[in-house]
Amino acid sequence: MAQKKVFICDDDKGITDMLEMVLELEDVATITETDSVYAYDKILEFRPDILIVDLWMPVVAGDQLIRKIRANDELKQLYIICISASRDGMKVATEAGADKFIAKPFDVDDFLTTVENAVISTI
Amino acid sequence: MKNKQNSVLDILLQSSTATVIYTSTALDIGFINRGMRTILAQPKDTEISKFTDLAALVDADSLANLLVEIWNSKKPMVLATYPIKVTSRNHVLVKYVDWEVQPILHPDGTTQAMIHTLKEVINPFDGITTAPTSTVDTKLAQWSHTLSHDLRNPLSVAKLGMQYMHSRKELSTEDREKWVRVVLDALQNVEKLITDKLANSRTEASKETKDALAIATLMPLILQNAWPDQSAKPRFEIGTLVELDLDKHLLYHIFSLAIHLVAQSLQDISSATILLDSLTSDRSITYFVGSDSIVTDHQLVGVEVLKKLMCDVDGKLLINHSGKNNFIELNFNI
Repeated sequence: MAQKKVFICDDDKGITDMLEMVLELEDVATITETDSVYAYDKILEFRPDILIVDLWMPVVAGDQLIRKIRANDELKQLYIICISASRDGMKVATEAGADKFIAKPFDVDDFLTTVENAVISTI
Repeated sequence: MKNKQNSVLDILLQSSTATVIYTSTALDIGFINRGMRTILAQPKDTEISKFTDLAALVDADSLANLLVEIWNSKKPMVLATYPIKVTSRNHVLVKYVDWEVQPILHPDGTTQAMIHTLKEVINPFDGITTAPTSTVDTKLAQWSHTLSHDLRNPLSVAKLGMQYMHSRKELSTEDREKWVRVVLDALQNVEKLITDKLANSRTEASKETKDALAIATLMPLILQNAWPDQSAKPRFEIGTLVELDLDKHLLYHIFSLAIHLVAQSLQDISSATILLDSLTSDRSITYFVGSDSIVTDHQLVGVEVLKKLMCDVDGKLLINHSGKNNFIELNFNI
């Protein structure tokens, strides 16, 4: 998983820290953001390969961010993994344009497998 | 003659007209019948020799004060649709009763006994809904949804962390310690979330169980029930009624007693007008209950009960009862 950049956006710092630790140990470069208001501009600046985004966030919700990304042709290659504790998360994420959905709390192996598959699909 | 008296007493004992006879200012009970025991939720066979033996009465002190005031006033007191609280099977019930207390005087003018009757009446709030159960159900669903959602984040962190440490044996001591700290922080967040959410829900729940009712709905109920004898009813002039966030039974008790106190002092009730108005300041709401009619020189009975009720809600009572001015001021802190 070398040389791939993963952007993690979740309003819970515990989640962003944990995912950052897991991915860095797998030799993946990570960028984190806990305030969804700044996420879109940061994504434009850093041009990650994979976005891991929570659905239920204040001000700019995950599905709003995903829709904005999908509306921009420059970002159409971005692989989006949506994570959420919300029971109707999969439906909302899919309708917004996410590629994959993982429900919280998730298994570390399931998570890493999903990210690996994302990496493969972005080669 | 004695046999006849005994059979009359037996009849009164079995009567469902709730009766108790007090024989002293300490409220010693000379007679109490089945009907009274039933209303006051007292078991059939327990020995009751004093008012204070009526253990199921929640507000026994307050009622005892009222009875002593009546004893000392030597004047009868009639209260219609008056709330009393009794404990039955570990639940506190509010019952509404028509209550009549009649002091019986010695030839020298002092009180020798009091006959006290109660008749249970329909709860004035029957048929009047407060918080609909659908609202409560919705709130419960929202609460459980929020708690379930908010817990999943720290649980995700804890789960991921433990799984990772378990599956990656080659982690350095430093990395392992870092992971353990992250997992411990997450578990502490779980604990904090549950405590905070439960504390908040208790606060919300206490607001719900306060069983509030709009004062504009409450006041007509009080005025309607306070005078069963329509021919001896005063007129009412109602000004502003500022909303009070208090339990409806408590508000009913406070205002019905306040109105009754004002009415006690009126020379001619049927030609009098009772005034109700309120005022808000920064820190309090003041209700005025008064009359511009001529007052009698009558010692008001029930003042101590009303004082205690106001004290219970952290409020104050002021009585102005002299000459032409006749009003009660109920001050509620906001």
